[in-house]
Amino acid sequence: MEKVSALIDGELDEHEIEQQLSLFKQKNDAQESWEMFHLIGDTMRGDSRISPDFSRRIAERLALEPTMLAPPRRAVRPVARYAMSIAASLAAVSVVAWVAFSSNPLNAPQAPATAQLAATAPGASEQLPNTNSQGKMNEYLLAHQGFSPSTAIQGVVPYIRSVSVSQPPQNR
Amino acid sequence: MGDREIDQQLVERAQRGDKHAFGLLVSKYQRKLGRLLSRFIRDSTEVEDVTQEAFIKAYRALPTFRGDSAFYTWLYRIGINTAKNYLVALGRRAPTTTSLDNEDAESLEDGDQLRDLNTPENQLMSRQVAETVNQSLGQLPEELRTAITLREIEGLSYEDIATIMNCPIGTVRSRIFRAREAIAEKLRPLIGTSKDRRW
Repeated sequence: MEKVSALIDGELDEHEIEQQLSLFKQKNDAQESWEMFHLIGDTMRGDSRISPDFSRRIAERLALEPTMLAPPRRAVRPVARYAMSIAASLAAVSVVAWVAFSSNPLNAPQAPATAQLAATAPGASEQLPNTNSQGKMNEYLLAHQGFSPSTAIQGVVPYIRSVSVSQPPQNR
Repeated sequence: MGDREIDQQLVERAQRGDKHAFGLLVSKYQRKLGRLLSRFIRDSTEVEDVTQEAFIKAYRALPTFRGDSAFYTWLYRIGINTAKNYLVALGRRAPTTTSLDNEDAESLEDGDQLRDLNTPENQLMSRQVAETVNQSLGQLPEELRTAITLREIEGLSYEDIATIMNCPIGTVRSRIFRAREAIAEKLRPLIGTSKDRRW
């Protein structure tokens, strides 16, 4: 019964609480101690106005009530809740960053190419489009779009005309 | 783990059909709720009836309790509404919400403002219970009396009591239990065995 006393005082850990609460259904004396210890505490604090047989009367009323079966609710522990929030935020930031960097043509591949050109052709760097100027770069890319390997086929497409020829069958 | 978490566990068990668990909540809060409702209703029998009704309403409404607030806050709110409806049905005037709202309900500490609401039988029984508890408390060894007083009256944790009494936490736990057991032994003949109060 010492654990009942500690349970009332909120001094058991989670595992012990589970155990103890389960014991209440099996051990009548545990429940009796729970009631008695609460009565003692309430009396010491001056709360003894409810008659001692109140529990019996309300137990009789409750016995007439249909058994409660609320839909199960998935308990989310506070730590898990925070961890899930942080993970979701990180995932969202990662996706946005990945999309932004992978779709931006001014990124990584530009720098080595510029460096290589500058090394092989001194003075050529002055003629390259200013990478800091997005407007000029866009014009440059637009003008050279047809030579881009990734758009080679697209660059030809506007000039393709589909032509079909049908010949009448020859009679022998 | 604190009081609120224990209540939440009991509520979840009750929501899964465990009436026993709800019975433990009734045992825990019946006198606190009765004390609160005695501010609204003068007659002791009526207070008990309304308290009982509030618990039944709470039981029926358990599926809607999601744990956003503490169980006792929710229960007290149901109790206050039940008391007000009761008074309205009787044509009496209920106290205004400004005189006693839900937050006040959580921190009712004054005993002197409470009305004496006991019938002669209840009054006698309550007096006997109080006398027995006080007598038993006075007969306890000093270290047990100090431990249970610091816990029940001052509301200190075991750790704080251990610091004050300069002893291990395990000793505090044992002393409080032994004090309760000693008082309970004296109370049992007075209020009968527990066999007729099974949930």
